[in-house]
Formats: sequence, structure tokens, C-alpha cells
Amino acid sequence: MANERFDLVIKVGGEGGEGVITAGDFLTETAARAGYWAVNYKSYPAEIKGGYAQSTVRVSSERVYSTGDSFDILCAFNGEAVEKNMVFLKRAKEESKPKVLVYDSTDYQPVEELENVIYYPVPLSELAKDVMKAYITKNIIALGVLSELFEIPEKSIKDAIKAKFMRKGERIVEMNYKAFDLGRQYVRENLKKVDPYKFPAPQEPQDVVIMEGNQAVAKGSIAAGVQFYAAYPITPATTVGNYIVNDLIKRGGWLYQAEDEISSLGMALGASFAGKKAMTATSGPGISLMSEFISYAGITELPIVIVDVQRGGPGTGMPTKHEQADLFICAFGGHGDFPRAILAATTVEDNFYLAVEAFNLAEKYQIPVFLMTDGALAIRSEVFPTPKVEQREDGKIIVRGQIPYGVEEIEVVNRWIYNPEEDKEGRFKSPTGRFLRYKTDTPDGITPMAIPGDPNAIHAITGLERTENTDPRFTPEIRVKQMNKRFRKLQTLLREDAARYYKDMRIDSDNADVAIISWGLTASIAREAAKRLREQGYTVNEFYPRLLWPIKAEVFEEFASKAKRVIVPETNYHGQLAFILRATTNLKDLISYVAYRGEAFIPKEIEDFAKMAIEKDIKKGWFTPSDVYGTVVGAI
Amino acid sequence: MAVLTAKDYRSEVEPTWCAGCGDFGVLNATARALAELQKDPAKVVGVSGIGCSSRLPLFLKGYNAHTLHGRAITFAIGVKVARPDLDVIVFTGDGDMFSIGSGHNPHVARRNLDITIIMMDNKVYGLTKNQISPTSRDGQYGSLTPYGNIDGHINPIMYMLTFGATYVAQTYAGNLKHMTKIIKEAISHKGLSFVNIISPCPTFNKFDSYKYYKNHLIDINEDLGHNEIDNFNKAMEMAIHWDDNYRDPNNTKAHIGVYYKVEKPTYHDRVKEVQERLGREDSIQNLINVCKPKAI
Repeated sequence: MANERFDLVIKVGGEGGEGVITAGDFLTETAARAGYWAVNYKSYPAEIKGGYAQSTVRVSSERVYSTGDSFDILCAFNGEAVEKNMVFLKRAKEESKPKVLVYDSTDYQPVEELENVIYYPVPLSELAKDVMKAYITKNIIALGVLSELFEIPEKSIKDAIKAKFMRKGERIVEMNYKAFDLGRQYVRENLKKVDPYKFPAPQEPQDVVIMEGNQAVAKGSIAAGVQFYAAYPITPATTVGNYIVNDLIKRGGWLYQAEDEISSLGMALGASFAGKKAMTATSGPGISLMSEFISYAGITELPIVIVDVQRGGPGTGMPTKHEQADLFICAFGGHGDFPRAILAATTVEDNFYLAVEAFNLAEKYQIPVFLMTDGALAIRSEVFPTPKVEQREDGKIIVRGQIPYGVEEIEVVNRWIYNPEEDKEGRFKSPTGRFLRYKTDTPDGITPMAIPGDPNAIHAITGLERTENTDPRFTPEIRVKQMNKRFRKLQTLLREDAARYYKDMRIDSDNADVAIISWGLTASIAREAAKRLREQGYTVNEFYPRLLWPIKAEVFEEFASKAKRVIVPETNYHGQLAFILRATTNLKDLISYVAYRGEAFIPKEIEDFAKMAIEKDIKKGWFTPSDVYGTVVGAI
Repeated sequence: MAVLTAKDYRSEVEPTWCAGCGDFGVLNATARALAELQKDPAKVVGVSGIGCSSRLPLFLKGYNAHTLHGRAITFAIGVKVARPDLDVIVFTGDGDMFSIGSGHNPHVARRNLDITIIMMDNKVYGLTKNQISPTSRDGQYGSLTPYGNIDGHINPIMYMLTFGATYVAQTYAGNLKHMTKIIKEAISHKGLSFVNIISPCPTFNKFDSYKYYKNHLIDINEDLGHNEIDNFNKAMEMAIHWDDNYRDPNNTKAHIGVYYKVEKPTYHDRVKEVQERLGREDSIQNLINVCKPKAI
């Protein structure tokens, strides 16, 4: 894309309701319109009204997956935004690049001049109130300021403004243009640029979309052909439903707002039994409530997709905070033994494609499939290449794009429905003609389903252990055969499908200084840390599996054998993935590197820890960033 | 299609109930009602929870689902919303529906889903061997309340009327004819129908026996002249009347009959309106492309 490498992090912070988040969205869209990539991490206030909000937008000439260690430019809508970010501003003196503080001088005056920080005071509130006579234009004035200071392409940003406001009429667009121009004019007349940051010239825009994490889950599910979505509001999963509802109805499906999460999964399973692709999305507490039905889905072999947009636990925990602490409940929650699969997304783009894959696994294997994301991914937006969905005449649907985990395309899978024409020899019929829904002797463990309305395969389902023709029966022979049938499906999954989700692996050396295995959002941050380590001369192997259950041990074992040490960074206390890997593979010497403060890692924390592990020759154990820095650091 | 008889609606699975269980009667009446309506067994979905009564769908022919304790209604809603062409019948009991599963009752009723709920009320937990339920009588002995029930009881009819069910009736497992008629009406009703069936448990509830009901049943429509069945206040009065009597088991009449029946748009009627209003999008790509920066 760009000739020169360009990478800039702009953070906008202020009072919720002042258009902070909108300003971040504009910057993201501007980047896309100017032909660059962007990722925008939003942080909404936890309070219902007001409270601190911020948006961190990283714009780059290359695909980026994290918002980096810190910002280059802070645009502070009030004093609180400056105070909240003081820790980063103070760190500027240790950094090679300066930090820029653009602040609302109506609200704030710096008490001290920090080293290596460049100050641009702009009376944002005053300009909005006194000149524009409309306080709501404050964020647009700020965009004008940023545009003039950092050469953010005027046309791209104005197009983004127009796209947002054109529905409200020409007058509103004009007012916002005026506010934008006012910001630019203020800079020209009052400020002198002394910082090195500038946006490169716009280039031909790529064919891209801008999606939020939960939106990508919704769109991917639509591509997969979901027809029923059961919703119960819970932060941060609610917006999956918000995003899917209209699309779903337009595709002939329906979203049902349930009375609780138990109902959500019950309803989704009812719809699945009735022959439709069904899903629900929730967060940790909802998964706890659903556990009984998850187990029921396991024994009745009903396809179902459960999206877990994780939040900080336990209990009510920290609903608006980032954490990856639900791997245990997704892998082991629900009573009894039953097969299931877990896919975990590392980026917003992943969310889209893995939603399709989750339905594929659920429908093919007739098991509950979890798609794990988290609250930070849920509200982060990304610019990424537009996914392409081909709907063929024959009904086949093929999903293509730059699929981040390295597969070429995804063909949408539909469940195996019993067809008497294909069963002339009566393989799935008892001597008396009853349908054998759970025949135990298929080599892959998969048996055809039948949906209500088909007179050839009438059968009941039950959560009780049962015979091949679904009568309740608990004899040891039947029990063992049915159990083996169900778990044979997982062996088939490992054999036929697991490799798809293990492609995001990079081997620098057969004896690398360090290897990193990570999952979810942390993987996207570890990726950047690995890149920096490599630039410093270390050999780094990386593995970001998208399939977290079942585990194909030999893949992990072989990967780990090629490095002197393996670090598993993740944001939970136990080191849940490392815990599972120690249990399911011969890898006992894994280094858990965990953070459980409610914030994602920043790349530097993984980079610094990796260097410490190399220097001190650490091979195993459990560490946190405090072990590196001697203090708890929040990476806001 | 050949004319189907009641036995065509029975599965090969033999009931596991105790001899004399009222649920046998409910099974027979349901099969008869389905036969009289000539329903296609492949398009009848019976859904149940857990309990003696919840075994019933396994003994019926159809795409039936024996689900979790208290959760039959949730599963049934999923089936019905996904496939409005199916007849969905929930088979449940007093513990299943009004204890563990009670949170679902208001919501299925207020939305007027076109589902039939048949509750077999034996006033006791039978499958777990004699514990009191939300409909147990005062002083009734249970294994966890050996001192006699002090918990108070609820009136399922009043609840379901309050929640907005559009067909509410009560019948008795010892009266096959009345039961068949009521179940038939309930299945044919467009909207949420609730049928409470007094179903004696000869093993654990000795009080509510066939012998007792022989002398205590009264038909609210025929004997008490409750004919304005579309009048909510009258239906409620009748339900309260039954409840008052219920508190004094030695001087009581147990009701059978239709309390309430009214036609209202079903949930599916409203869904169809919304679907028509929003229209259809055949291209998945178009739904993705709305996430591109808008052309200016």
C-alpha cells in the first residue's frame, strides 16, 4: 500500500456524551477512506450516563492488530482525560518519540511542563459554545484541529462526516463542516506545529469494511445461515443481538428476546431441533446459567453455536472490562462428559470468519460449539478487507476473503438430514422400521438428523441415556456404545478439521530463543511483541490456535519442541490455556504469563517479559507483569 | 391419508408410570384428541421437562423432546418460532411448571405464542418419591416436610389468566370424555392455551384420590353456569372461587371446565407483520457491504 511505513496512535478522551467515541469512529473511517488500515479500541464509561470515555485509534500503512503500547497523540476533551493518561505522558521522557497533548484549554491548564511532551492548547468548549453556538460540535471542532495539525486528509474526514450526517439533512452536514473548518482555522491562526507527526497523503482506498467485534460475529453468523437467535441482554454481548436483528429478519429468521439465559439456550436448541441453524450470545454469567442446557445439547446431539463475549469475572465481576477467564467453563462447564468445540477469535476480522466456522462445526458434528471473544474485541472496530460471500445457484454458500488464520475459503456446511432415498438398505432403520437417530456404528460417530415434518424418521429426543432409536435405557453396553459414538465425533473433528485452525503458526528456528502460544485478543498483542523481539535479533516462534478444544496434542508438542522456552500469555489468573495444555499434552514446562487486572496486555509487557525469560533462562512457572516491573501497571 | 386412530399416535415405548397413575388417562385423551383432529404425527411436537408427567411425550408418536426440568416451555418456544407450521404441545407437571420452571410462564403467556400447555397436577413430586409441590395442600406430608406442608399453595389457573393466556381450562384425568374435549379445544385454539389436569398420584398423594374426586368435581360451565368465557373478570372470579374452596378440603368442589377463551393476535401473527414490514434481502453480500464506508 503505502510507500513509506506509517504508524500513528491517536487517543481521544473525555466525558461520555461529548462525542469522544464518535470522534474515534470518524478517525477510523477517515483512515479507511484515505486508503490506510486502522484499529479503534473504544472504552465506554461504566456509568449509565456520563463518566470517562475514550477511543484509541491506531492508523497504519500496514495491517495492525493492537493499539500499541501507548498513544503518540492525546486529544483531551477535558482535564480528566489528561489526568487519566498522566502515567503515559510522564513516560514520554523515557521514549525516543515525543508525545503530543492537544487539550481543551477552556477546561484545563497544565501545572507542569513534562519532558518530551508537546502541548497544543485549544479552547474546544469555548469555540463550540461561543462561536458555533452548539456544544455538540465540540468533537467535530477537535477533528478539525487534529486534521490541520497532523495533515489528516481533509476530504477523507469530511466525507466521513458527510456519510454520518447526510441522513439528517444538508443543514446539519454544513454545520459540521463549519465546525470542522473552525478547528482548522484556529490551528492556523494560533498554533505553531513543532511535532513530527503527520498523516501521509491519501491513496486509493482498498475494498474494506469497518466493523465492530460484535457486529462481525453478527455478520458472520448471517453468512453461515443462522435462522434463529435467542437473546438476553448482558454486557458486553448484547450488541451481537443489536447488530443481527434486522439482518436476521430480512433473511427470514427471527431474534427472540428471552426471559433469561437459561431460556435463551433452551429456545435456541428448540429451534435447532426444529431444523434451523440457531445461536445465542452471552457473557460469563450467562454461560453459567446455560450450563445445564449445554450438557443437554451434548447428549441430544443438537447443533448449537454459543458466543461467549467474555468479561471480567467472577460473579458479576467487571462487566465492562477485558478478561479471558471463561476458557475453563467453555471447555468443562456443564455436567457429565460430552463432546464440544471451542473457537476463539483474536481480532474483529476473526470474529466474522470464525462465526461461519462455528456453525460449520456445530452442524457437521451436531455438538455445542463456543465462539469465544471478549469485551475489548466486542467494541473495538477494525478496517479489514471486505469478506466475499458467494451464493451459488445450487444453494451452496462460499465465504472468501483474506482469512486471517490462513484458510483459502469456507464452504458453509449444513447438517446431515436423513434421506430414505440414500438409505435403501435401511442402515438407519430398526427391523421394525424405527429411525435410528443415534446409530452407534458409524465410523465418524456422526448420524443423520431428521427434522419435524418428515414422516420417514419420526423420533423423540431425550436428555436420558438412550438406545439407538432414542428409548431411555441405562444398560452398561448401551451406555458405553453411545458414549463412544459421541466422543468419536471429536476424534473425527481432530482428524478432519483441526488443522484448519492451526495454520497461524510461524517457526523462525528449530531452536528458537522463545516460542509464544496465545489466544484471543492477547494473541493479537503477542504478535506485535514477537515482531519487535525479532527486530532485536531474537528468534521467535509463534502459534495462535483458533481451536482451543479439543486439543490436538501432537501439534502443540511439535511446536514447543522447536524452542528453548514456551510462553503462554493470557489475561486470566490460572493461565487457563497453559493449564489445559499441561493436562492434554506432554508439555509440562510452559511459562504462564498472565494479567488479570481487567485490561489487555500491551505489546511491551510481553516483549519485556520474553526478554527477561531469555536472560534469566526461565523455562516454566507463573508470572505477571509485576514480576517484570515490580508494580501493577494498568494499560489503559 | 388413511384415517388415523388414537393408537396411531402412540409410540412403541411403554409407559413407566405406577398402576393407577392419572397420567395414563392424559396420554389416552391426548392420543384421542389428536386422532379426532387428524393431526399429522410428523408435525406434532410434544415437549416436556422432567417428572412423571414429563415422560408422556416419549409414549406418543411424533417429533417429541424430553428436555430439562422446568425448561420445556423454553424449548417449545424455540420450536414454534422456528417452525410455526408445527403443533407444539408442552406436557408438564405442577413441580416442573410452577416451581423450577415458573419463571417462563408469564412470558410464554403474555406473548400469546400458539402453544398448548398441558399440566398434570398431582400436587406432589412423584419421581423423586414424595415431596410437596407448589400446589400441595396445607398439611400434606412430604419426605422433606415430615411435619406437614406449611408453605402455602398457588392457583395455576389464576396465574395463567393473569399472565395473559388466551385459553384456560381445567379437567380431570378420571374423565376421559371431558379431558379429550378440552385437549382438543386447547390444541385447536390459536394462541397460548393452558390446561390444568387434576391427575391423581395413587402412590404418594393419598388424599387427592379418584375416590375423593368422585364426590367433589363440579363442571363450571354446565353446573355453575360459567358461560361468558370471554369475560376475563368472570373467569378470574371463578378461579378465585375455586381457590377459596381449595383452602378447606373437607368442604370443597374441584372445578372442571373452561374458564376463559378469547381470540387475540398470536406472537406469530405479530412476527409476520414485522417480517413483511422489513422486507427481505436475498444477498448476504449486500448485508456485509453496508459496513463499507458509505459512497459520497
